[in-house]
Amino acid sequence: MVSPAGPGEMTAEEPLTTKEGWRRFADRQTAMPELPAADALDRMTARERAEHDEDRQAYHADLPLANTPVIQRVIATTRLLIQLNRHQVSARRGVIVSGPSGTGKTTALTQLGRTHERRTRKRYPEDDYRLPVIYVTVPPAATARMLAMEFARFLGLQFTGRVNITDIVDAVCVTAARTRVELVCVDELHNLNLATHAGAEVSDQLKYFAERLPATFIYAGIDVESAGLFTGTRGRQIAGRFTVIPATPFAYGSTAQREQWRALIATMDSALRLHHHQPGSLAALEEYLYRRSGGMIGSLSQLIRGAAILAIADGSEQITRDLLEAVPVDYAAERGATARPAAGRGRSGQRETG
Amino acid sequence: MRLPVAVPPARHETVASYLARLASLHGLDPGELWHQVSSPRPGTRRRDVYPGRLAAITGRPAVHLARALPELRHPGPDWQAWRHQPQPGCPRCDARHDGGPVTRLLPHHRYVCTRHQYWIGPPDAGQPATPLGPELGGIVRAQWRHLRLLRRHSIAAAYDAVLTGVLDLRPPMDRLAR
Repeated sequence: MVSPAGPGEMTAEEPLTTKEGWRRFADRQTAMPELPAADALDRMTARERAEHDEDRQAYHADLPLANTPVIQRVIATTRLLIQLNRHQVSARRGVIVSGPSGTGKTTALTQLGRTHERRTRKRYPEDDYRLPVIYVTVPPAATARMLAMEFARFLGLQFTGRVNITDIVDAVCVTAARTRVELVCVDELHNLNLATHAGAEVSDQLKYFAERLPATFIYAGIDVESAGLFTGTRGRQIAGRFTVIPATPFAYGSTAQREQWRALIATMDSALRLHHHQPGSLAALEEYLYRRSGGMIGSLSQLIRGAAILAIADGSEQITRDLLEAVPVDYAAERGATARPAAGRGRSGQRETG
Repeated sequence: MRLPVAVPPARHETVASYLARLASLHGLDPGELWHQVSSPRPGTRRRDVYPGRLAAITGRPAVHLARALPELRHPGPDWQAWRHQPQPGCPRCDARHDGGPVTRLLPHHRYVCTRHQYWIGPPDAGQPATPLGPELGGIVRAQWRHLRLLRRHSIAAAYDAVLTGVLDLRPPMDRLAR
């Protein structure tokens, strides 16, 4: 298939839930743009300067991710389970990442998959047919057939309308075994409603895949414990086999929590490529950033990436509170901000100068 | 969408054999893949394979596929120079290809696998390829020489040469009686 996209770019026809899209994502390496000295910058023609700015805007739009505690825990736990499950014939153990939206569940899942994919490919460079990771999402109002088709679509298996679900599942299992799939990431698990007949069938289908595929399964979804995933007979079986890793917003209460937040800001600060940015200056805005983002990694990332792009566009080349104010955040973070009016004021008032 | 285990076709393999192997590797029904890469020929019950569609599902360029699969060549080969019946080829060559048995459509002049020294001439029904022992090395050498003749000249010239050679080998009395 000829694709117009360059290496690492996603295209509409190759989303992350296809093996081609996933391969692009796993191969993507963000190169940090050079920051030329002031005199070299002055010598640039208008066209060169525009290209330089465009490169940096693209880089900040896709700013490298910080290795959050959730990502670290997901990767460490799942790597251990992959080892433990390798020789198990049934009842393999898995992981569920659960928490509110914007806390980095999908990021943790995809980073885990990417890490495993790259490590496996490095270990078996000659094996072109190996697909170490499958990444699928549970579709809204999913049926068992729809879920099976998601797996098939990832693997590149197409079917005409004549096939039944058994044919699809068999093809998926044969292909996954032949391509030596070791890790199956299932996102958007909250679309699964065990209270409905169709939802229960999807849960059974997932369990069937987990039994037949010699792989470790990891699920991610919004507050899946409270959505009834662990209730009933099916739920008890899931609860007995899966480790739950909660993805929560960063807290800002104790000294240790503040240190963790500060370290996250510092990591993002060091990744910025702005001409007038003073390394470490973002730390002065930490309380403000916490208040705006509500401790959500997704909202924080949007704020900093958005402000960096605006700083390049208006030529100020540094992140200020005014620029951050111009970046919209999601409703959940805004609602959190209004619920925490005290945070970011008072003690932080003198320091929020950027 | 491309199949994940898109193994290459064997040389001179039939399209049906290649699709059956691909289907087997992916747990699919061969008819499923056949429907994906072909369209019905108007007015008949037959279906025509589209090289572009096969290229799309295998990720292999159509020209590379046509090199291995004679049925996909455009313009098609001179079918008079080919056997009319698909057959199994050299088992040691086939062992390199995953997914099940390989069925090939061979040209008339392919009698011996020169690499593994197997007789792959027109088979009797159900008869597998036969290994040629060292005492039959002359047959292998004859196949080498014949392939060289084909490369240097053409199929038609080689055919005439072989026919003339065979006629000349007849006993002198037989020739006089004509």
